[in-house]
Amino acid sequence: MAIIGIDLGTTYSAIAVLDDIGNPEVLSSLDDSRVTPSVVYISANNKIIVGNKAKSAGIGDPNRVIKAVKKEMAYDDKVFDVNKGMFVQGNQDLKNTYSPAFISACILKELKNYTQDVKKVVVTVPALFSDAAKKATQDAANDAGLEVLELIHEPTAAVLHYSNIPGVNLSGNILVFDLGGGTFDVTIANVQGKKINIITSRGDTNLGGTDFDKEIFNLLSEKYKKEKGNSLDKKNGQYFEVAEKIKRILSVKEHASEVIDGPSGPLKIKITRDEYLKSIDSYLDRIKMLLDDCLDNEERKLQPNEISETLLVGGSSRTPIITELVTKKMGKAPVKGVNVDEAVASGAALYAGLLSKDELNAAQKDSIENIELQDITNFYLGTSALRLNNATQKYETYNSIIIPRDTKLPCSETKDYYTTYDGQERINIKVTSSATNEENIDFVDVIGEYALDLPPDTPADGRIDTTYAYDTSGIMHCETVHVSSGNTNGTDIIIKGTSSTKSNNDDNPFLNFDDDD
Amino acid sequence: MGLFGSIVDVVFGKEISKFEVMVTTGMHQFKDGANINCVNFQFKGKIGNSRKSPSTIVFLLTDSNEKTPMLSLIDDCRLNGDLDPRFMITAPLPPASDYEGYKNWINSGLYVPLELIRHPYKGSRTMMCGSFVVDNLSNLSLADSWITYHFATGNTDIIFDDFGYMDAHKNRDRVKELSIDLCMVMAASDGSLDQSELNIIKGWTYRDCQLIDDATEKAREKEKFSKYLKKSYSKAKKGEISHDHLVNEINKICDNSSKHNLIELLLEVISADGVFSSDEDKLLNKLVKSLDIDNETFNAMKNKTVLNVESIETDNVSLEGLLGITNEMSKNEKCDHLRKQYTKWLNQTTNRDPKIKDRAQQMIANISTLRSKFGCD
Repeated sequence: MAIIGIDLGTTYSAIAVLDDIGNPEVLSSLDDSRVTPSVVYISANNKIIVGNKAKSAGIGDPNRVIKAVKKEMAYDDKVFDVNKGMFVQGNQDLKNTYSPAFISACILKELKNYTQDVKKVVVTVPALFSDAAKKATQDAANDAGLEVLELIHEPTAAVLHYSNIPGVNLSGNILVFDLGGGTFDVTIANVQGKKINIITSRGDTNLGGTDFDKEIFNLLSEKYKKEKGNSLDKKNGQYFEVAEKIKRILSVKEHASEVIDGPSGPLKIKITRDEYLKSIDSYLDRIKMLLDDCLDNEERKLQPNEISETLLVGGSSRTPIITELVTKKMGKAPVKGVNVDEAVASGAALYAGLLSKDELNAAQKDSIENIELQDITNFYLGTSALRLNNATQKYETYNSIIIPRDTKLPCSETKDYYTTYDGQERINIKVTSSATNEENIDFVDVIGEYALDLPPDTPADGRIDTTYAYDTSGIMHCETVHVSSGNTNGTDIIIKGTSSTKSNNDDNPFLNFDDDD
Repeated sequence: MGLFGSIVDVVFGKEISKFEVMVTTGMHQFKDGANINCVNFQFKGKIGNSRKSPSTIVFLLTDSNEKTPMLSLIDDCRLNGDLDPRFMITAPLPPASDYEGYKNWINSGLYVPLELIRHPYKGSRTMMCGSFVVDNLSNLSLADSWITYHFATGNTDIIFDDFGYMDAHKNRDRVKELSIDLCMVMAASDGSLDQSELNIIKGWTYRDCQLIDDATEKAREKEKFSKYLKKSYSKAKKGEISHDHLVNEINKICDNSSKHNLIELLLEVISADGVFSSDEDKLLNKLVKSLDIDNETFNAMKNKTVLNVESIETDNVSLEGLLGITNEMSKNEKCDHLRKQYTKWLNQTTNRDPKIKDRAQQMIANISTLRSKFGCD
């Protein structure tokens, strides 16, 4: 059985297999591409096409082309509506709508076809992917007929791959800068040979190369409107192809000129590098802030010179503007020689090998035997509790942290709480998650809820122990105990928004792959 | 004074033996490095502790000038359990001979942050500590059941900068009137004083009245404030209320918690019509500064409003005020503060509520604008 890792990206995806001697090998598609566009086209007669062919098929029918589904994975109340050509909210029962997990399942099934005998996989997700998005990713994999061994964070997979490249012997703190099509992660890991300890991660699941493309599209549209009086249709994927091309040209030249075939006829438009840089300035600033926050925050202060190497990952990181930014910030150039498009999938395949040791041959076992990986929690996990606000002298609900961010996995933490009044009958436990050490309950995500019934006549100040246990795959188990009575409740997996992989199309409800269309 | 009378009588009643207590205040460094102004208790004297049943020492704090108790803000330091807010703290007595007792001052090891104790009056006061050596067989949570062997008092002079709870009680009605006036000024600051804003002010005004059991008194109280509401509304519509004058009086008679509650109320009034206008924001920032409200606490309160309000007038509103930037901050502090605000709002960009998600994106764009303005790199 093949040992598989899948990088399910916003703009491109890749699949890697652990070869017979234990090295990860990225697999090519039938059209010989090692990366597959994460694009799905659903035709009027419900044929589903994925990848480069989907891009071509959708040229005359842009409403049926679905891109960047990864950005929608956290929302189980959203569906792609092919009538509108966009993700819409609250229309689960409409015809011709498709859930994000269903669309991701289409991509995964396509990747699965690049080799035989695929069943168990490791799938990568951004470091700051929400629990709901992780759950939807797992659902998508299951729906594609894959058993998920574990999900692994993309920067973790990248550093795993890097530390296992023959001839590489790492020692010190490695910063992984992962700028993909739609997400940005920055992770610091302490690596000694093949022993990897993740220290911390930051991320923005709404920042990536597609944002740069959008800004170039906006520049094109403004210039087109000025000359021809009409704006360009943002649903037309061709304009974004041109924008992407201009982005690549501006990486090496001071300006780029392209002919735009707009609604009022063709027009040659020139974009300068200065215009481009100005348009993406706020995104670059966000990248700088996350880099700073990863190095220097409440819990730790690392100077750039304490980082041995910076590893660039993700297709969008190859642009010279990004290399310049990283070089300036870190005081030295990032390391070269790692394939930014393939590192994540390769690392995932290695991790799949680690999790399937019994199924490996001797050479594969030898290859990975020294690998050790210590991962962490990327979110603060807590619950809502009452406390006295000293400033207002009023009781208020606040977010009480139980497991802090950057806690080594697996972990289990217990915190004591108390009943608030005599005769309290029930406690409602809200499980919260936040990327920052947040006390304001309005600023955290509630990822689960459960209730604990108390015995009759329970007095105030009765101790309540709440335990959160987080396993290595990122699944959290929660349990709350009323100590004096022993009453207990909890749940094995508390993840809000279990995703539906349902396609709400009665005529043809599920996957219909057709390579020929 | 009724409720507090009995313990004051005990404290001043009789001394039991040559037992001395010393109470002091000063900065104390805790294990986590925090430096906090605390009350500390020491004792000495002929108080043997060699009985089979050992003793506990209990400390009670009182404002000596008015014989009014200090109150505890935390449940664990309350006399007679949750319902009695008087401050009490206990410490076990180390073993000592009946004949010798404690020759030198013994530190109880208790350092109680002053911020956890609520004082009755503002200004220069004498704080008295009544100390009881009590048999451990006593139920410590019930003062009436204490078997007391020794008793002593010790005083310390202290200046309380903020108004106490008795000051607040005395000024309660006037503080309420001033709060109504200020809310009316805030509601009218964007040029219109609408029903939704008025409803918030009315609801807050009558909230306390609902707690009054006596029907006649409740009706009288409601009528009194109803009249005041109408008068204040009319004056605010005509622009006849000066907020500078209000702030001056509030600062003279209002304690910190009342000021914080007032800011919370003002934020409620601002968000009532769903729009956070630039005029409202400017006035609010001015008031916060004049009322000497801690910036961090204010930002936490304000962020809740910014998150939930329907729209923010970003064209005119001072972005610096909106994001909690003050003129006193250095460039580095501004950049650091903005970075923290960024990570805070970033968390909301994946919120399931599209309104909150859009607000977060808007705030992140505002942060970038300011970082660019301040030259943060």
